Amino acid sequence: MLQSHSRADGRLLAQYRKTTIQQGVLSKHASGSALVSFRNDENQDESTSILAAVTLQVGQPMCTAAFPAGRGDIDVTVSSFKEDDSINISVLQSYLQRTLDVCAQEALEDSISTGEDNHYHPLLLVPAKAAIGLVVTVKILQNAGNVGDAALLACIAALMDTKIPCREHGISLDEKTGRIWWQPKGYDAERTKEGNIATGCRCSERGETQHKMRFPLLPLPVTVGLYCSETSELEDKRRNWLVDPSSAEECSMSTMITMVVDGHAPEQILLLDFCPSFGENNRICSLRTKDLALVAQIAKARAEELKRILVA
Amino acid sequence: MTEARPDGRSANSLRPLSCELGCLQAADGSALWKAGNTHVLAAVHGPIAPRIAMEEHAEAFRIQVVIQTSSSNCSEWEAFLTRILTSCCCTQLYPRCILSITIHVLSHDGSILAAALHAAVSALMDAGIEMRTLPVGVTCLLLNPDILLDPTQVEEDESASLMLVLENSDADQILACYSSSSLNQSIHNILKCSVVAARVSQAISAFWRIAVESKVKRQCETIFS
Repeated sequence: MLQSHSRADGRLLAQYRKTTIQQGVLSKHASGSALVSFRNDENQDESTSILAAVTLQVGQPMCTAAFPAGRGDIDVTVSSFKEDDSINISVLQSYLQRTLDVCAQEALEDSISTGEDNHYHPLLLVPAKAAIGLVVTVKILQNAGNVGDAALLACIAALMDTKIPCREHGISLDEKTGRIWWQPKGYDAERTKEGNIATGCRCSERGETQHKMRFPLLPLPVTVGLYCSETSELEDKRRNWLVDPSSAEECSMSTMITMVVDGHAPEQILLLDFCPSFGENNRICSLRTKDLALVAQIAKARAEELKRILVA
Repeated sequence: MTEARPDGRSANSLRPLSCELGCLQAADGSALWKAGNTHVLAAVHGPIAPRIAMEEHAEAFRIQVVIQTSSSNCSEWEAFLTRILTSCCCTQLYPRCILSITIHVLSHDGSILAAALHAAVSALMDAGIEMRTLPVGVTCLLLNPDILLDPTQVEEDESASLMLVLENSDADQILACYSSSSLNQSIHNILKCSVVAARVSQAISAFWRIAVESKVKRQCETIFS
């Protein structure tokens, strides 16, 4: 493979499998959903397919020292369609949870009327009283390698497909019943003095006023494998990089590097994880600073491509 | 100018380190690692034959790491440490065996993963397991433009941290990396961390030498006194 610079599935070392993203596949049962596939055109049976579904809940947020008013949560659950020893479900779940946490972070909103910057949490409705909780359920349908990237992409696409209630309208909380009320446009505040609950609009999960989630940061992943051979005397020639590894290739890599960058600004790195793999040659292959710079360039190009696919 | 940290340290200084080898009599190797108020105890059992024959490898021993802590990232940390320690140990010396490492977090005050790695490596040294290289972990907190080393829990709650594992205290030999949450940094800032971490990791390597020498000296005094 290394001498011919092509892989068992016919791809070049720097070639990705075809990425397809379908949103809204479970529109009847979930607030948002997406199906992501990494498919090889030559062998369509071997593809990595991940299904993600988002369920929306409204409740009291958890107030912490870092976020005294709370901020809403995104919880991830991962399961596999069939038992697969090559996937560590708990590790994958923890990785997705850590990465999707950025989507609930503080965002910056320009106020049109005053022109001032307003910091807000996208999932927080009434500070310390009500916030949105998103439960993301991920199902691994088929595994042909690079499950982490496909799972994260499926979660992001499902969250982008999810509609959450608008914040622009007035939100008030009835503390006796725990219900949240949205005031429609043009609502006359004087009418509330009559004490007639029927004049308000009742909140439902898919309220009258809703919009798709806006991400302050858009996490987009790339996984690159490094294989160190012992054949060449030159240090640079011994290192062989390949992107989007298949499940057979993952077993022989010396190191697997996962870099998550911000889709809005691909130079910014949100997450960087790598550690030695249980390679067959069992040889330590440390990364150098120029290796990380190379991976950052690969991640930037991949993020731009993924953003085009997501937006299309 | 960098503001003073809550505990009065400068940006590039570590908390006071302490390492006690052989603190558990029942284990084959053990170590109590303290970095400020972060206390981690590691115990090594093995190499021993596995209970289930399917768990053994024909050519090398297998390492199992279990971390006892309340953190939600426990499973990720276990997999991360397992891979690092497997690559650093001479596993081919004990085929068909299992080496079990149990790590207890006694006190949590930030930089837990680095402390767990150091405790595990210290316990492996105490058990006499041969290693190709000593991995040194340094936790960096990225606050533009400063880089704070060995952050406490209060500092980690305010910003994301990055843990770099270096081989031979060399900035150009990065064995592993783990980021706690959203870094939102350029690659240039991340690479600066490796340079800063390399300087500090030499201090940790020297500290290990002192810890092992004091243990050997204590044992010699006991035998020949």
